[in-house]
Amino acid sequence: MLVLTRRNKEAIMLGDDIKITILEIDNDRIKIGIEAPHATKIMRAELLTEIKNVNREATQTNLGFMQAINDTDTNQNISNNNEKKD
Amino acid sequence: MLIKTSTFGNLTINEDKIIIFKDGIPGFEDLKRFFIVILDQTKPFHWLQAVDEDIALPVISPFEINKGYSPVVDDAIFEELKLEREEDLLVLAVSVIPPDVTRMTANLAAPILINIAANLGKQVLIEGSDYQIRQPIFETVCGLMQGGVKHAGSDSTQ
Repeated sequence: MLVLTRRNKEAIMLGDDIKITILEIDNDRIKIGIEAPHATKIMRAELLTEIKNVNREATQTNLGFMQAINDTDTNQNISNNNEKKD
Repeated sequence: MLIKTSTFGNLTINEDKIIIFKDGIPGFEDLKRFFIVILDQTKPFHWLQAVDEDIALPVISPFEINKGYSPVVDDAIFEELKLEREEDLLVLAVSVIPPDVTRMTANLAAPILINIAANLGKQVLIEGSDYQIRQPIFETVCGLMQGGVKHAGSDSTQ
């Protein structure tokens, strides 16, 4: 990992086309401006991690889920009907 | 082509049904070939099955979850998918269906886009939208399935 230290308003170039500028520093948060070609994917790192997690969890699906949906929905309807009677 | 799957058994598919994901999908970047499996028993969910590894992801149409669903997608993505006509675009949301099914979710913030004419696909991550990566969908799915759900006291038999 390349580590650089920047002050407020200073910038970093990535290649020829991407510019990262520190716009504001405020306690433990900094505002970062990113100028890059339109097609460049830019996202908060934790977003990508979460999407990977969702994809991996999705592959763990048990096919019994359809019956589970039917059972759960039936149970909810039973309790809803009981509530109405009260 | 014969594909062996633990979820669906052995499947014979036409090679022209194979969709190429040139970047794979997040978490499975090495898997470039997928196809869609439609199972009546699991509607409204369908499946994105990998060719080169035995994994399948349940997918659902995001428009069934949110009728007004309209993520903003850069034109560069449509170029990458070689999309020429709007009707060639299929949009799917990956679903997480845990053992506690009431907690099922769909990823509306990173839909899977497929050009069904060119058989090219890509999962597109949309920053800055209000759509959630884990959008709860249980109530909506129950509503969609209502025709098939047996209610207590009904006369229907298996």
